Amino acid sequence: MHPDAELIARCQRADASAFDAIVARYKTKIYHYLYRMTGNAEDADDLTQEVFIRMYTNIGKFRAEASLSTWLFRIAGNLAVDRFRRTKNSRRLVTSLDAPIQPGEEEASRDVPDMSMAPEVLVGRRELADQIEAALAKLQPKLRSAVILFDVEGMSYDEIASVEGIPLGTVKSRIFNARVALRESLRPYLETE
Amino acid sequence: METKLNTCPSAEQTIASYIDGNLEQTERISFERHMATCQVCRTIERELRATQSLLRALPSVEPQQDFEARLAARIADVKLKPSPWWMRLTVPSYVKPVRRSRVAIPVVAAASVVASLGFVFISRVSTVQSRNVPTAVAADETAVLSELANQHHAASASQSLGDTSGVVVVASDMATGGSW
Repeated sequence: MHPDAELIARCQRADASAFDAIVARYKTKIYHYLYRMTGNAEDADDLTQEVFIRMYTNIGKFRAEASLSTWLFRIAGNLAVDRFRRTKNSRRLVTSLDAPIQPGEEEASRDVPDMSMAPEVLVGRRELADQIEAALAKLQPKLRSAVILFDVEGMSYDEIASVEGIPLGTVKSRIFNARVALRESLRPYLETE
Repeated sequence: METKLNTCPSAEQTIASYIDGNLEQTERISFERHMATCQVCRTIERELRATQSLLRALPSVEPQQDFEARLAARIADVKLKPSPWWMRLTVPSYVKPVRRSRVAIPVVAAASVVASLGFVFISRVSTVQSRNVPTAVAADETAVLSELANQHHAASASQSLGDTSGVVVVASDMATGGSW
């Protein structure tokens, strides 16, 4: 497998196959992050495409001061925050656990699952995944991004600090505050014993 | 909405570092001894770990099968619409042209050139004629020249506006963009 630096250098020489290789390497990671940030497949797909178009048009200016991964996630994060600001309050992507049940909505869809099941089994049920996404959607974007990058994407504190351009202490604080808020939203689903 | 824990800030940071495996060995042992006697910290630690487990167990998602094909089409579209040549001379690639201004800039530039040529031509004619004409006629020509000069300044001013209003800086996607 070619290292990122080699692919970037080839991309800067207008080698289309190198661009394709970068897209193949990062499309799922970026899409996954943007899906968790936006809460829906349509926005995630559109923004992921936009990330690679921005990369394509700006590749000539890329310098090896940051990793390609950091650069792409930073573009993705900025695009997600821009999208969130534009569509704020214009629609609700997911249903809050404590929101009143609307006419026509099935009460059964908010049943609390069997707590004896493992988390992996529980999230296999669509409604629990929906509630986790609802809890994520209630977070401020900066908290949401930090906790997604750490707990879902598996980045280190240092990598998140580079992606978001913030100090290490701020990264830790955002992750912690995000988890505390999520804990409150997801309390009925927490299996602690 | 952020919810504060029922504990001191230093304990919050310690619990966070403990969960993420970022405590030094001595700190970790010390905190585990504390948790053995502190029901509040034990409960918080368990609940935050459970929250983390839920997040990590979310199903993975993937883009659609035709992602690359649609991306290729969009990039081909970008290639087919390059920036106008006069923008490529001075404007970096992260500055996007706005289509409505593509016609405005050359039209204003042409108008400015015509106004300038007219100003020079009439100036020369009036200079020759003014040597042999009565004072009243010269005064009329002065008014005409003043009007032409005003038109010239107006054309120059609108050209400057056209240059700057024709571009939109896209800052949100820059690799060197600020923190958020």
